[in-house]
Amino acid sequence: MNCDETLNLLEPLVDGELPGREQDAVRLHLDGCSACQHELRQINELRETLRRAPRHAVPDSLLSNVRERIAKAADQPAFRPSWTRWMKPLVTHAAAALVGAVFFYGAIQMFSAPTPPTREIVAAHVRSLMDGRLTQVSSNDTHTVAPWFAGKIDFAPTVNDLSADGFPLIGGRVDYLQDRKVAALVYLRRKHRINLFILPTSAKQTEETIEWSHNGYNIVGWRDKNFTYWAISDLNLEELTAFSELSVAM
Amino acid sequence: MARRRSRAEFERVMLPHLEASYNLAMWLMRHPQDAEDAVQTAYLRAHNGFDRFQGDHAAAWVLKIVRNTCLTSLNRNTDRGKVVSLDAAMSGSEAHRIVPFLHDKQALPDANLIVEQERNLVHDAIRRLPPDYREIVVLREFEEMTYQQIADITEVPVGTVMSRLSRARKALRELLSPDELGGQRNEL
Repeated sequence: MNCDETLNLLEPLVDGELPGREQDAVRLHLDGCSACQHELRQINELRETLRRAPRHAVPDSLLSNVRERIAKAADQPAFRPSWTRWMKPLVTHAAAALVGAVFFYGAIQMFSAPTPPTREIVAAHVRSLMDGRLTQVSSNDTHTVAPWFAGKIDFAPTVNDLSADGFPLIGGRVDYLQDRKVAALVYLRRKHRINLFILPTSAKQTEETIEWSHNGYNIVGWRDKNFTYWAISDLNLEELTAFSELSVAM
Repeated sequence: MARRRSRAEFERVMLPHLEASYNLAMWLMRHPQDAEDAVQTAYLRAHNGFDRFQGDHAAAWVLKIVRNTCLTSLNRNTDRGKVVSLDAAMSGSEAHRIVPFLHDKQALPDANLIVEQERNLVHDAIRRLPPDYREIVVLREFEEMTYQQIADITEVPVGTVMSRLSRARKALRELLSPDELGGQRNEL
């Protein structure tokens, strides 16, 4: 091993990222090369200097503030519809899936367990993107969009301003899902449009964010004590989940 | 099957990393109140997404959320024109970016934004690194993250982590060398 090769490996060596065999080769070279030894000392000195620097002192209030905010968020009970418990084994045990699905569907019909109307959500989303029917009220102002729903549907959806987090509101419309009129808010993430469907919840189900995909669309669903929310977009799931988390946090 | 994890478990696993989170946030936000806000928001997001935590490295997992929260906040402030983007001060290929930056005294953050009590030559030197070098140095030297963890947190390839770390260290050596600290030492 020559000096150039050794110099390139000194930092990984110090960082503990060099495999054993290469370590041996580097050490062998170091034994006979004072220039490389000097470089190694410099690297180690810098490390010592950095590690002696004080850390930023954490404010006393931080721990209690963080715990308080988490407690507040956790007070909303968790949403885990029973169908996810059914669905996961169905997916993992493909052989049982077909038989199971028939039974599962029957079970839903019989006990009317909460189930996301995936096809309806996708259909409503796609429909909204066709023929310029995306918004009936076009505004980025929550105080324009929220009152617009008054008199058009029998509930008052909360309209959050998420523009500061990179999800500008572009408007809303009345849509039709699960045999009733629902509010649809439209947000934008780069070029991706997000439909957020909001419908009143009557049952007292527990709440947990759920996410899944259908035909290339990602869907995230959650529920609070008044409403069920379905967010759908061709946006990647990570950012759509971030969107849902911001909406929940508001 | 995933069970809804409890708040107690979240606190047990994630609260020990509050100091690391706050430190990373301070290095990125540079103002205690902004750093605290970012950490609070990040922890709320982490709590909401805790079911997605695979249980392998809690510090890296939460630091990634802290970093993203900080960058979102910084971008937002930049959009509002409150903060001048440090990146905007630099141009050209990455290899050439760091050098003019280090010699551009104008690019130093407003002294008012720095907590006076923590003024320290090493801190000053780290602050003069461009943000994408600064965060890698902080994660490696203070939080002792592996290259792979740093790559995961900062969403760049491991090779980029290594080259940025190396350039940042060279720059820090230059900034912290006796020549650079000149005045004070020569008087002794």
